[in-house]
Amino acid sequence: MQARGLLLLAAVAWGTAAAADDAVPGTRAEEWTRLRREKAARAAPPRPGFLERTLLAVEKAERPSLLDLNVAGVYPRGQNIASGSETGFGVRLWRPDLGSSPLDLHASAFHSIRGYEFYDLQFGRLAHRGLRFPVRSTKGDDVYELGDLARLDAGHLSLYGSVRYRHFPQTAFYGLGGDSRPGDRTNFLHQDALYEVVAGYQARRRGVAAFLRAGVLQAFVGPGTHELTPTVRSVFDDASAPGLERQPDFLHLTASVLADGRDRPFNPHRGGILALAATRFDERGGDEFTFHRIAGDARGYATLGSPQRVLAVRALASADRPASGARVPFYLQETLGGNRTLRGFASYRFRGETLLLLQAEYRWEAWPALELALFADAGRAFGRGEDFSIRGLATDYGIGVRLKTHLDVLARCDVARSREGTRVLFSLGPSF
Amino acid sequence: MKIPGAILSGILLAAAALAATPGARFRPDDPLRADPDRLPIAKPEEVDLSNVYDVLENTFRHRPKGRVPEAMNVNTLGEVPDSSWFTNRIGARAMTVEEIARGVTTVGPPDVTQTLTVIASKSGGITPGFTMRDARGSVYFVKFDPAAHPMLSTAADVIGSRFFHAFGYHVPQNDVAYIRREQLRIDPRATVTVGGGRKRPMTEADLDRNLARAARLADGRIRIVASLRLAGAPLGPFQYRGTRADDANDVFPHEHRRELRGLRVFAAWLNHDDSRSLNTQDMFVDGEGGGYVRHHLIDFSSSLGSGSNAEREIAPQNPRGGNEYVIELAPMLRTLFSLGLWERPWRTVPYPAYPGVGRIEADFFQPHAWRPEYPNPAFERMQDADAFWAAAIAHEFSDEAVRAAVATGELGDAESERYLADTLIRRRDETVAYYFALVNPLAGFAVEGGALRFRNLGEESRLGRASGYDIEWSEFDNATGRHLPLGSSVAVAVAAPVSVPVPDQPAPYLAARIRTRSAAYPAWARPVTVYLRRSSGWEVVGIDRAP
Repeated sequence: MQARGLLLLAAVAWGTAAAADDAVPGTRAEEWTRLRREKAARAAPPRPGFLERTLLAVEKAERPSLLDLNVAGVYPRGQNIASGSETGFGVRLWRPDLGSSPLDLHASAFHSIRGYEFYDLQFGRLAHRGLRFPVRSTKGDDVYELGDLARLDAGHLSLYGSVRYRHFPQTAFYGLGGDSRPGDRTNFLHQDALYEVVAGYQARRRGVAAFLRAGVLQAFVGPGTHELTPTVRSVFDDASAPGLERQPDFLHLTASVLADGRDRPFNPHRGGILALAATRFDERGGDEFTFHRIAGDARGYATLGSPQRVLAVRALASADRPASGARVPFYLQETLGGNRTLRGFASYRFRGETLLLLQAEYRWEAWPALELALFADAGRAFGRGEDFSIRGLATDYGIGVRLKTHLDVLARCDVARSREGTRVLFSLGPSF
Repeated sequence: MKIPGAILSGILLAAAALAATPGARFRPDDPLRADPDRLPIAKPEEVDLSNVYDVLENTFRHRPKGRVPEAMNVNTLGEVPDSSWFTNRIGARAMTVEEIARGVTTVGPPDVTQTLTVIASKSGGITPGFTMRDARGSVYFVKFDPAAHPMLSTAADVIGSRFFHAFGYHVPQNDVAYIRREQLRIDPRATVTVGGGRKRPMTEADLDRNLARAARLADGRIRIVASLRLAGAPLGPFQYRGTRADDANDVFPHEHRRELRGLRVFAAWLNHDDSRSLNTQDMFVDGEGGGYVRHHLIDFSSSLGSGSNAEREIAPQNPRGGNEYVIELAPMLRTLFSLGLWERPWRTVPYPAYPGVGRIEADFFQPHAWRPEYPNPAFERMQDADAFWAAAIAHEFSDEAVRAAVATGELGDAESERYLADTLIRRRDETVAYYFALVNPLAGFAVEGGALRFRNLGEESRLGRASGYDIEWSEFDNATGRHLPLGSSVAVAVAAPVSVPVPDQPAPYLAARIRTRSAAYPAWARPVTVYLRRSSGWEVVGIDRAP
């Protein structure tokens, strides 16, 4: 029975085969092998496209990234020099740990398309981490910038000499005090040179640092070059703009302390920072413009039930106290306005001897690299004779978008509205 | 007259071969058990892959559009034949617990009783490490845990290799070992890469700097994972899409390979969210008559509860890992437009504190919702049949096997080991339960003693009980694909394993269309058609799970 069935099966198979196509029936293995033989005839090495090749080269460091391009430690860079300068181009020289010593050399030279210039040089033991550029204060005596200094390893001592020259030919000036009018906008050339010695210490206790700066400041005020606004002398005089007629040299001494408890200094979600600075400007050869300044900047950050929601608040205050009978030069008075203070107002919009700024932001991360923020700013610069009050502050509000890494805010765009209109601000780095 | 079995088989195979037309459903050698993809070829060029480009391309360019075809490299049983990509192990044969725990066995772990020679610094990846040669001349890639997270990544790398080896993938031999700094000497030819891609000789200071980041035991020893250098010449990673242009054996687009699609199931189970091209390695190896390309999965250090933090350092798995792509629009927009009030659900998942285990859990885990770091073209094209194939393999892992594989990570803490093994067992159960519910989970078809037997994997995994099976027999015409029904449907009472007599028909092919009755799982009623071919007896030649 079994044999008969099988023979029948074989016969059926033969019959089917005879009726089939003339093509040689194949096995599965033959079919798959045939595919391979066909491919072998056209096999060719893979050729990645331009973008893939370029990204790969950067990742594998066969070619340094654009940011690492340098010749003997000289790095080309593009950046803003000051508010209103527009993009500046220049170079930074960075030679850390010279000859395996703890000494570093940093210098930079920038020129912007509006004719702004910035040159500086530091030599000594600079505040830096690893081979990264030192984060140096471009204003030196400004409490605003203390929080921007790189957090260093505990026990780090910095001690260096610094020379800086600035040429800002279109610095805006609207008059002093909170009642200055936008229609009074003028511009002037602000030129200064600063020679100083800086000592700093990062305490073993995390985030606590102290700095001492001492040096000579030479300043010059001249006619501005902005074509659409009048130069300062056409609207103001030495009475309304102290120091307009004469700009003496100053000896300056600044002591500052910083307690930084932010979880990530440049993309904070929790913690806070407190910076305090006391500065004395002593006029060389006179006392008409001698004054001292006390300033404080406090910032706090808290997550609202989730790390993706952050409430950030800031209070900044600065008070200049001239010596008896002295005045504070207008060009050294603190300012409000622009992308880090009163965002609904133009840069340098308010100047005064006393300054108060309150800021709050509700930030939410749609994605680790994308953050949005609703913000409100309030502040006022009080001129001489104005009573300090939290009433009558200039206010603005707005919304911002920020591109970030986990560690840093790379760029942001804030749209701010105030009584003086709506401003769209593009900037690098965090707001505060 | 009795015809000897061997002669009979030969006659029948020849008959079947002759009967097979080019359009025939079944070929004489079906079901193919080994893919002839190891034909000798010229050695392909070594390639490298841009991490950023891979993320961008797979996120924005290679997402599935339209109908996704069935996997292309499967045999007529829906199985993956042995190939340069895959060797059937636990899915095809019984593996002992010891065999699973042993993993790849070639020359064994490094000989750490003698001097170890550092021959290269490590390039790529986020784990610190180097390449070393032991006194026997075997070369190992060495990685270690950061000081802040001892055992975390080394355990994951070793445990992962045991699982993926048992699944059937080609993986390196990974072992935990313990070394001392004094044992290491630097080969004079060893170099390190510095800024701009420049290389210079490696110094003792370089090695010290490298080791300064390593976690050390109380006695000063450094725990390492030693990954034996793969045999052959490296050719770079493979991609989860397309084929390699200079490998003639590589004819099935990778996104349509069942073992790469099904890898998603395994990766989800083991939380291997770093299952991307950069963690694969092609090697040009010797074969019969010449070399061919063998494809490997490497580096499981970012699996289980191990991952990396925002600073790209080894750390407990980012809670996003396995839950959201690195770039995913929908949650981004929801958060954006809700002013941040909508919270990603995975953010609130609690994890127990087992430092050597990191972040892995089984309560929030959903196998189908799991995601790798960024879209994987093969994973995204996984069909129910691919998932069932993989889930059936996962199902073969006993609790004991899972515990034995976890033990190879030498977590050194019974509580941590128990938590990790329990979590993986639960994740396995959730995985098989999910995928077995989507299809008719019948498998293990065989004809024994004139009866068709099969297993119900859904029942075996305690998903639920079948109330019965409906079986329709037909004669199958292999040339035309037509079915000639043989009587009406046969209802089979529940029994495990189910055994159904094969009709006594002289036909060369029979087909049994089987539906499983289950009120709880409607998908079990989807028919599975099993094809039998007459040889010396009946053999199962095909399985069709198409709806």
